Amino acid sequence: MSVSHPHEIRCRYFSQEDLLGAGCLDFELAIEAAENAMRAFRSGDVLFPGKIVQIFNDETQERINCLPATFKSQKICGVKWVSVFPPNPVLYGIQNLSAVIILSEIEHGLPIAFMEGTLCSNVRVGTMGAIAAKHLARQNSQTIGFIGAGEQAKMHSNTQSHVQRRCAR
Amino acid sequence: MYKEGVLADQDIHADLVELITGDKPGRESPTERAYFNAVGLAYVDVAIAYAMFQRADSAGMGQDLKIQSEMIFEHAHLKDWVRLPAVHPN
Repeated sequence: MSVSHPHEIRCRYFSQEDLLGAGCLDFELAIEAAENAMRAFRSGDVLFPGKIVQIFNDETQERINCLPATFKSQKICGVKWVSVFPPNPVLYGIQNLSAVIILSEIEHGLPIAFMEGTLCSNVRVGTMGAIAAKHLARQNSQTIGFIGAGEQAKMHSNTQSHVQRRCAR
Repeated sequence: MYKEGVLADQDIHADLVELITGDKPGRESPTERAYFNAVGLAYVDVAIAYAMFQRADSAGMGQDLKIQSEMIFEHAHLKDWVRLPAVHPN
């Protein structure tokens, strides 16, 4: 805040390339954040009111979901605004999922960041599978099967090999 | 399977939170068959986003995004910006 504009509000904006360039495609970072988040949830530290779903086409399930959550002890409230348009790849040759995220602090309630969220969303999908595999997969697993080979499969392929790195490839 | 009643509540060993907190054991033998159904836990998105924000911000990446310079009625030129209904002299 400047002296001449005491009521100025600014936040940061991060494109997908900003996040990638800063090293955010990092499964260790994501696994640690996800595990801490689940422990925080267990201890009652998380406000998680549930998602708001708006479906525009019952047949194709084209939709935009609004997914808010707050981490009380970190004083962070955020929302993922994510669209899922299943026909996009076939009809238009573009991705079927796109997301943006807004983060606010909860001491004054002001926004701190507006950011691309598809990276985060896809990293989360792979991260949850990786955490499950850490606990449930056979330690000597060498083979993985996929049904479908889209963005999420690619992310799973990377995260699974990350947690199974100690095994023969 | 769950909706069809083939899989009952007592057939579910644990959820992911119980595994990471250690409340329930993960795999106990190499011959076990485990089925994990990943459902979206959207609060985790916010947590990962915050971790990414911290890393990207401390790396000096991103751009400044101005939301407002001043409060609405502090703007010196507000009178030039406000749209009032046109006055129609009759």
